[in-house]
Amino acid sequence: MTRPTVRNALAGVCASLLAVMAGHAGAEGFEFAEDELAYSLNPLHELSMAETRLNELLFESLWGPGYDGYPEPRLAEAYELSDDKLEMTVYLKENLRWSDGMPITAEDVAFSVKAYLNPKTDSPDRSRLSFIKKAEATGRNTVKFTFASPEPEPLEKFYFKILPAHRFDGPAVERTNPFWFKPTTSGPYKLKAQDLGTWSLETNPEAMRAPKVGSVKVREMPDKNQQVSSLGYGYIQAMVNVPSQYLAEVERSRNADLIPYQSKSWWYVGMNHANKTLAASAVRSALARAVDFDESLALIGEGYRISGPFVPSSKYYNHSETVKLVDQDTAEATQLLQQAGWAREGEGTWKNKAGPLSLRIFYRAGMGDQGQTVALNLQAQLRRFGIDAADPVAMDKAVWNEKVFEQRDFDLVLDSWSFDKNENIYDLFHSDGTQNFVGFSDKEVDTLLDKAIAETDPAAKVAYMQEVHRRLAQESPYVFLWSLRSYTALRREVESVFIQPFYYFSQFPDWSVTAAPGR
Amino acid sequence: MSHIAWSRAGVFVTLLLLLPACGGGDDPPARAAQSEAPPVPLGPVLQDSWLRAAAQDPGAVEALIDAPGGEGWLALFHGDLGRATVAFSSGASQPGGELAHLGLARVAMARADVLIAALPLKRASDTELLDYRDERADRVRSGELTPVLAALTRLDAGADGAVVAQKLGASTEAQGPLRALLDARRRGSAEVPDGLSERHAERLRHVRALADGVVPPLDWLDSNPDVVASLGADADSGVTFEQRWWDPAVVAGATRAHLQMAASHAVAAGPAGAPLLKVLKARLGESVSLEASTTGPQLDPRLAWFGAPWIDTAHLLRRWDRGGESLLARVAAADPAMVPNGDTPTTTVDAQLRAADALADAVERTLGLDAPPEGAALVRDLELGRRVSDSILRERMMDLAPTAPAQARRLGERSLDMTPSGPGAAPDASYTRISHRNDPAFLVRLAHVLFLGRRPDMAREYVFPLVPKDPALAGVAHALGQLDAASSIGVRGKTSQR
Repeated sequence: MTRPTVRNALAGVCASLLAVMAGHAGAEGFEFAEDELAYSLNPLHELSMAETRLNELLFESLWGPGYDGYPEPRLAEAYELSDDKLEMTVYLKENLRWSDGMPITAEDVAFSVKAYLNPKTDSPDRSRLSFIKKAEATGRNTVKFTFASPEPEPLEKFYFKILPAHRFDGPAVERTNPFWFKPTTSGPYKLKAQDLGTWSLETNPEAMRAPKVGSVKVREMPDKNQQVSSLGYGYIQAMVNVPSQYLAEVERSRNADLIPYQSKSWWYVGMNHANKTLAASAVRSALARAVDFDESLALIGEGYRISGPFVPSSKYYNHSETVKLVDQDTAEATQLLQQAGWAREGEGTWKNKAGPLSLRIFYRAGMGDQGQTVALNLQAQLRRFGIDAADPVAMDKAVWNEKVFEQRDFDLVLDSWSFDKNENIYDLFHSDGTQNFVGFSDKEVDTLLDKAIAETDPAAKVAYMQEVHRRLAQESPYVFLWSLRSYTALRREVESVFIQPFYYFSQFPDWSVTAAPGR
Repeated sequence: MSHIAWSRAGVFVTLLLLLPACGGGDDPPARAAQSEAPPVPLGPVLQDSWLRAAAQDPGAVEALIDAPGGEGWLALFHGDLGRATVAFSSGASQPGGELAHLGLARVAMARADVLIAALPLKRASDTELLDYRDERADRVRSGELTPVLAALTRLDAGADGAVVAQKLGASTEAQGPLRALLDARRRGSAEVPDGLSERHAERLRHVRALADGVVPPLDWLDSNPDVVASLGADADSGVTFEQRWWDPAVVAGATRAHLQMAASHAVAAGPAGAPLLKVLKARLGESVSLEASTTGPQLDPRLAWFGAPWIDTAHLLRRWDRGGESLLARVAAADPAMVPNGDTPTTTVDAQLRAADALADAVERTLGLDAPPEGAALVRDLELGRRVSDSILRERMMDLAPTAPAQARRLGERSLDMTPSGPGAAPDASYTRISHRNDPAFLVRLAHVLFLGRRPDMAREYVFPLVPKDPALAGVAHALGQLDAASSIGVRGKTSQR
């Protein structure tokens, strides 16, 4: 593969133009690129990392991750925990205001909790707040929380964003509520404009944490080559995710710093259990063995194959001999399909009484070039094995939400998950999970996840989760693919940078952009 | 590539081929960013360094690599200690194998360096885990051995007798072998009581033998814990719970074993081993008899450190906390602008990051001043300027770590080689991150910084991949994982699509 370079990516007039624009962007604010633009600015319906990142700039939580690793108070000023740890009173800071000038009050906090927990809101973060039994405003700036069970160390659970109650009719908030593109914010920025492929933010004059950078623009750039070029010429100040094949070029440039962006992310192929064919464990196992995923991985760079839903260095990853990576084994795949009632003549397509084994492959457009490459390779390999795999279809977030998450009208999907340090897989694989869109249901996994969530001893929690890993590797709700190391790149004129893993822009108000080009 | 082919091609071409990603970038923005700062007086800082020796006499480097087992130096340069050991071991048995012994000594010192970095992290993470469990005694499981293991850990970390006794509490293991081990250690004895697990006892016997000057083969260490104690089971799911404990004395013993191994090879290296023996004597203690043989090939003593993450003897002594002046202080004495300070940790970091490239360029220019063209090319191709600026960033990182770990992390990450794989690197370099810039001890120190910043998960990301290379790190990785799990107790966490 020829390594793309800045020189061959941009030439002549285009390069000159970008260079001019670079100076403009550096003087005015901060611009960064995403593979796919955030779809919704409503934190209740935040699904992707792009949305998480943008919402860090727009909304505050009661507490947030601090530099020192401890939760730091944001909207909260202080708290009192009852002796039995079942109740907590939170005192908000005084004189906080939304970007529209309305006061931020305890009613907003109580409303936010109700909205997250309302099943009609269908928030993917609903279970994150399930520890709260009740939230009520007991004063203008005082909220009383009642917990479902004792919460001796609750602060880190209050990282969810607070929403303005006055912008909603009630706690059942649908995705179509116009708040998603007309938000009222509490964070360092407010929305200035949405143009084709960009969100533009300006300083929120009411912000509790006033930023040093005057404006932020996020720009959709699906083409990584364009991102690297734009970074090199200073058209953007940050590239959120730098694939491995571009690392050397960025590192060499001296214009930008590469910074590890640890987000505990892994790729998978999800299989729809509502599909009668894929409901059979044998068929799922056969698919996992029919494909050489090392071949797929080699097409997109360096990564580490996984046998379960964790990155290899995770404390929960089960490294025991009994939990092995699934390698390509077409003989075993053949045997499994035959046992499941499928037959194949010669090099033809697998068939049963109902017809050929046909599967559709979807992948999220946000997976960019890498997603397309892997999806095409997956299709080719499945076809070689005699499965009638249709041409992969890229879906943007809106279509994905509707077709995959709501209608569950899919066969195979290629996507990746990213986790904060808690590596919460409950919602992915528990039969009650809010993001269990494949419809996986296994009593043993449910029991283990329930026990792991309730467990208060880290040694025991690790043991439960490693057992979950073993069981999921066996049951194959997904084909667990690989984990890629993530790096972000920031122009060197951006100073005082601190990247929180997962919560990328959490400390952005402290960042600054110097006028001097580079260091 | 074979040794013969290397000789034919010449060492510079070989090194150049091994480091295609190194040297000056040729992209327009990169060129535009090159520092134009005037030369700075770094000569005295670099005078005794292997960098200067290599630049001034590249032929000596070629001779080193052309000696029996010489390909080991290239492996060592890339941090591939396994491949270096194989090459040097092969060379050491050949006539004129003294320089291969020097290489083996360097490998052993590199392994010791990793554990010297790891032991404080192990003690800190073990202690923090103990604190966590002590403070939440009503919420964590306790096994029969828990108190005595806690007492052993506290004792190793320097706790006084009262604390150790308190940790014993109502231990039912009053007469057990671990209690006997604890009592022996409180007396300062290296006694190995009967009844310990076979693995634990064997390891401790090796450690005791080391104290008597016996250097056993280092195949006695694997990643398994020394003690596995039951914490009960869940009858419904059949899941069992365990407390795993890695004896810090074993890690300390492994460190000493590497150092003693290094000493024996340094002696066998003849005069070339003298600089190593000076450091080893400082580390092992004057009581250890270490005298270099007077016969064998002569080598510029500075080149004894060829490829090392330290530039000279003084730098290593400082790194091992055995005196000397820090590299940071030495550069500051030469030109304070190269190591600027700010009013706060954050402004210090920003200033140091701004100065880093200028420092690298200044080192490169200084090294090239009186070097032949081949030497100047070697300086550039091996990124020797960057090596010094990396060292400065890392010293700053360690200085800031106790009080400002978030800022310290930024410095460490700037000096991290993000593209460790490639020609010359070990096949698993992209996983372990080990490269010609990322020595494993640095990766462990960066992990320590992340640990201090309360990110045991991120710390574990750096340590865990190193465990297959160095099983003595298994206990560190375990403690970090437990602390990470502890920080997630009761928290569901957030999940997003990419």
